[in-house]
Amino acid sequence: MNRAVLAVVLSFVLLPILATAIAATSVDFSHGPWGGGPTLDWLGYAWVPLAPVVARSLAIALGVVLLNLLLGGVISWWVARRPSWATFLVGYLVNVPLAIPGIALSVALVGTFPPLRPSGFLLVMAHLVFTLPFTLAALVPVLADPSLRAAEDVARSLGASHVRVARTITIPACAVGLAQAAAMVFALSFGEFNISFFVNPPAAPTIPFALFDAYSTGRLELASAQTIIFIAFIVPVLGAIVALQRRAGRSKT
Amino acid sequence: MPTGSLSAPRGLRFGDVLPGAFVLVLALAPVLLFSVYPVAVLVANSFGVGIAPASGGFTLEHYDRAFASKSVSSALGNSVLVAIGSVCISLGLVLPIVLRQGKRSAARRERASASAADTLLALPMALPGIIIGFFAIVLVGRTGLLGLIWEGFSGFAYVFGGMLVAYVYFSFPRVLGPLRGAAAALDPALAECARTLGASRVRVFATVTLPMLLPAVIETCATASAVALGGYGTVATLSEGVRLLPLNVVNELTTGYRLADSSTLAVLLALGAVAAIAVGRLLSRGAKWAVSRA
Repeated sequence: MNRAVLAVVLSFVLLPILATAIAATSVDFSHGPWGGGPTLDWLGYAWVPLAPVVARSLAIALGVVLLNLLLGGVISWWVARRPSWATFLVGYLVNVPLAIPGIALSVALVGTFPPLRPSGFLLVMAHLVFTLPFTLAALVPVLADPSLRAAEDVARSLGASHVRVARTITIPACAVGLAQAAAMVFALSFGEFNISFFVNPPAAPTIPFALFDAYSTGRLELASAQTIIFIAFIVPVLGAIVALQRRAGRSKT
Repeated sequence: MPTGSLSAPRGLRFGDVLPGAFVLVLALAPVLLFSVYPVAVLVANSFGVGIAPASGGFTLEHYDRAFASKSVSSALGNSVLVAIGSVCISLGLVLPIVLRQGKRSAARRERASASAADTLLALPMALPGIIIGFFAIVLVGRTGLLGLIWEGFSGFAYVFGGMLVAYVYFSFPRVLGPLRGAAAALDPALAECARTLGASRVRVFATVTLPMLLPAVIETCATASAVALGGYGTVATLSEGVRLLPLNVVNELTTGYRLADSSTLAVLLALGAVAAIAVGRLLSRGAKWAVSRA
């Protein structure tokens, strides 16, 4: 019975993706699946204007990942190694964007910093504060692990420098956590729509806004083709996240 | 979390390498400036004491207007129903999968196909809500694919049931993920022990597995409801159908930049989400306590 439920859920997830793929390769979808014959033209039409948008979204997502690893790394280190009332408070403050709906944060941000919107700076900061909780969730438990700290202490007492300890013990121990955080943050930023809604620079949309525009104005086939292109970019990242999670789960047991 | 007392006095000190406090303040600045401070401004805006054009002086008129508005109260009702309903349906789908996985990880088989299934199950999590709304249009919109099979499906995307199914797609990975972790942490020996002592499958589920999972179930469902309540993307694509509260928040800004009114609705939406999370934590703790005493 459980196997049947899994099959139902898997087809529930897969069905709309397949239907969208069919719509994207149909000449005229209103005449049914592959109505008017199959074609790759819609994917071609969709890709030309979408390519610069994809490039922009990739650049933003990579920038947000870098900022996360830098700032998130420092904050995680501090939260894991210096527990006090202050770290407790910071833990709460960092998680604010998890509790407040994205669209509410978007209204808050555009109401507070309207001049920062056109440059795109506000968008990057919005993505950063939205993704930081995920970085902390991945890194803090690893950094707080007593066996890691014991290994660092042993290395230090044997005369290794701070830099050598960090390079040969701390960072390798965090590698899976860092990769997990990076992949997760990338996926979240690449598809972020809610917080971005009022803070994205109108002249330079990210890929979810190009999709939203196509959904409200474009042909169903063209919008489907754009959606398929988005999914093609996100699936490899997702596969990486799942693989890393399994790896982290295995090393724990 | 136990923090190694053995290393506290002579552990690696960041401050020895870099001026630690300065770096820390620099790292925390974006959080304070672009998350905590704007939320404070949002609340101030809703009372008319925020940033222009929401700085006319203290007033409760925006809240009065929100509470008196028929469109707001019906949208709020729809939002609550969709959030709770979609999470409950998701839980019904997720529980059998999670329990099955517990058995599978004990057996450790079918790794490659399980990995593909895991990726597929996690996919809706990485899709923005707008795409889920679009899926509804492709399948059950006016010219949707399923409409060819049965005419009743045409336009289903724009009625309450369609919105609910779309939000199930949105919610179930958010229920599945945390519950998977919780189920994997359960000790399978307890259930096996009960089975060998002669308890039926149903009895083991009701008296062993479910009570141990219950705190995680409550907390996960509450958090997922909060996320679904605030989810704007799906309803944005399906905006000509059922109205949900995030649409009202957006409308106040896009039709005439009424910042104070929009902020007020955003505060109400956020309060709903925060309340759901807080109640979930409280009930989860209560359940944990009750189970540990039983």
